Amino acid sequence: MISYLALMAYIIAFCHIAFFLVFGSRILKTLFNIFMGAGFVINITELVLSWYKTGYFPSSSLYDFMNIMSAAFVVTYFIIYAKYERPLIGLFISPFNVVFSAAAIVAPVSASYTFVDSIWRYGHLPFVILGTTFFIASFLSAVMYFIQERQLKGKKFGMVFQRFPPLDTINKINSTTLKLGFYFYTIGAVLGFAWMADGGFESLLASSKIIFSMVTWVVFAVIMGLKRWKGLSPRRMAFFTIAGFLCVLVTYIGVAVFLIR
Amino acid sequence: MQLAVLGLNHNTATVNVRERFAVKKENLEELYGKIMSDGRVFEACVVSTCNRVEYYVVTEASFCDKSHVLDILSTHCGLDTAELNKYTYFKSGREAVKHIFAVASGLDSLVLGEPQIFGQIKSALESSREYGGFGGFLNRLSEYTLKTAKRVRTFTGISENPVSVSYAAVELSKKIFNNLEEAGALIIGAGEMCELAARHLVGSGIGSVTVTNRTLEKAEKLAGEFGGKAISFDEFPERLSEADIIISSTGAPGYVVTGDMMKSAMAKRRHRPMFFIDIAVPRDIDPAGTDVENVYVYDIDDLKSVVEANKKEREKEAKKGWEIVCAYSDKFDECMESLKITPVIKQLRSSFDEAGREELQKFCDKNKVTDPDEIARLNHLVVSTLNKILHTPFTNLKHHAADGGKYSIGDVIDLIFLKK
Repeated sequence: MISYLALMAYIIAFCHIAFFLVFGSRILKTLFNIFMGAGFVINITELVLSWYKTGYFPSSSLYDFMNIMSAAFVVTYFIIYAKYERPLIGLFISPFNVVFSAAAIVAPVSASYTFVDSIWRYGHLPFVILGTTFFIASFLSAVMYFIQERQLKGKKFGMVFQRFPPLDTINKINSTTLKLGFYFYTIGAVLGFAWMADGGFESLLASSKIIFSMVTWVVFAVIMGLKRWKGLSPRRMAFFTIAGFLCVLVTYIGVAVFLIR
Repeated sequence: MQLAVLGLNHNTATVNVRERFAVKKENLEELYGKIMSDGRVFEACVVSTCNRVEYYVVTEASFCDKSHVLDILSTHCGLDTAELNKYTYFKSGREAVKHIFAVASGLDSLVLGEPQIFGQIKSALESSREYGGFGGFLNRLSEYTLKTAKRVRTFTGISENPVSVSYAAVELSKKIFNNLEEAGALIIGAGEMCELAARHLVGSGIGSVTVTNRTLEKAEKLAGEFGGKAISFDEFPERLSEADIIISSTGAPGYVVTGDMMKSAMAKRRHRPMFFIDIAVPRDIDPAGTDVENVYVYDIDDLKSVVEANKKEREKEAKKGWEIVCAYSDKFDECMESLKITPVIKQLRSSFDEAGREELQKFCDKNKVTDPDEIARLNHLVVSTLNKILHTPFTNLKHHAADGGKYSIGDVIDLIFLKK
């Protein structure tokens, strides 16, 4: 029942931001933020209740994972919004909330895998998940960049052109999300390795999931390096971000769903 | 009492005529004195801007026609009746109220939705207050006029899209650079168009302005006006990379900024975008520059298409604006109607108070009540009882005063004394 509420909140939020794109009314923007916040509160309530009931942090089932991802997307959105006050990134982020909340409804609630509980997990998990959602936000801002650049070069001054943020702001959002995503992901990965070393699970190093996670990290590290030392044009950076996003997709969907751990 | 307006504007009179009818600020006091000396005029307000001259008068309904208002103005202001008749429009009652609401909202302006008129109407109403033209009617009218104009601006997009080429250019640059304070502009040329563009850029808070021109003195003069700096024409290709926004309007027969210049400037900028605005005919900036990454080149036709699209957008928004104007003119009518009941309510209240005092006096005399505290308590009881009894009928009276003759006597009693 509570999952349906979260899904409803995110669907309503998406409708408001879509109407904001068309009408540009401030009230729609405010309502979008309120519904995103409501969805987040529902996600967190569900996690806390589950934690209280079972006695351990709910992260072992696909259902838990979907809820955490959904909440992390809202955190990502509000961090970007707090810095740039541009709600339209929410037009691209909120569909992820809708998809993850809908997936949570059909996902199995029982544990998908067994694990050894450890303090390291409480550090590893939020950082890796936030890193991932920021990488996805970075990809979304790259898409926004291409759309707005196309409008400017093609001299098309329609609704999208009017509502989208200025090109340099989109570029800044892209840089910030990429940077934050990389920092979070790096911290999460380090904590994950520490957990492995502490628990004596070095054998996991050879698992496809860990290998692809590291490939993702390397790809983003290369992008960060190129940006810092060589200087990337906003367009190129947007391209690289999309490449990084494909790695995230392979890591999460490709490996988690199609390959055995 | 009714409002009437007699005026001329950009639609009814040419600039020569408007100039002749324009009222100078220093003559306002005398003009108000003359108009207000006419026994037919209760209140008055004069609006004089570059695009319109309007005389608003509040008069008896029987004098509220064009001939009387023309007579008032020709008698006291020395204006020629025949000429006034030829160039002016006249509106009275509800139409006049709608007119002032529309004018203040920018719906009747030459440039639809232009914001200056709001301030001009506000200052005209203040002058009327200062020079004795103001009264209860205009006070209420000014309150509703300002409310309507603010609502039109807030709830429609009438003033959102720029409708001049130079302003459109500046607004477009905001779609590339979020913060113009951090951006620098290079103006190539020192003509009127460049001056206008520079004015808009400075108004939008541009970080720095550099001007270049074949005649350095002209560049220095223009740069001086905006606190910018001037550079020689030979120097500008070298300095091109320092500018984020480049506006060019020279009389040169060929390209002043070539594609190669843009490429070389971009190479020095570490991928920061450049926005070139070409408002010259023949063009100054090589359009091939648009193929360079992070370079955006717009010419006069591009800007004109933006302006045309924006004009259409404003026309659409104006329809919404008129709906607001009509709604507020209804509210204003209701408010004025409800004000008519105020003297009746005052009279009714004083007769009830009088009756209360008489009955209290009789009671005190009969029962030999002399203690002042006791009398004060009894008085308090009478007053609070009257307040309680009269609250509902008075509220209903105010509320239904604007309903006109649509109630029977039975309905009136029900509405005034019984309905809660």
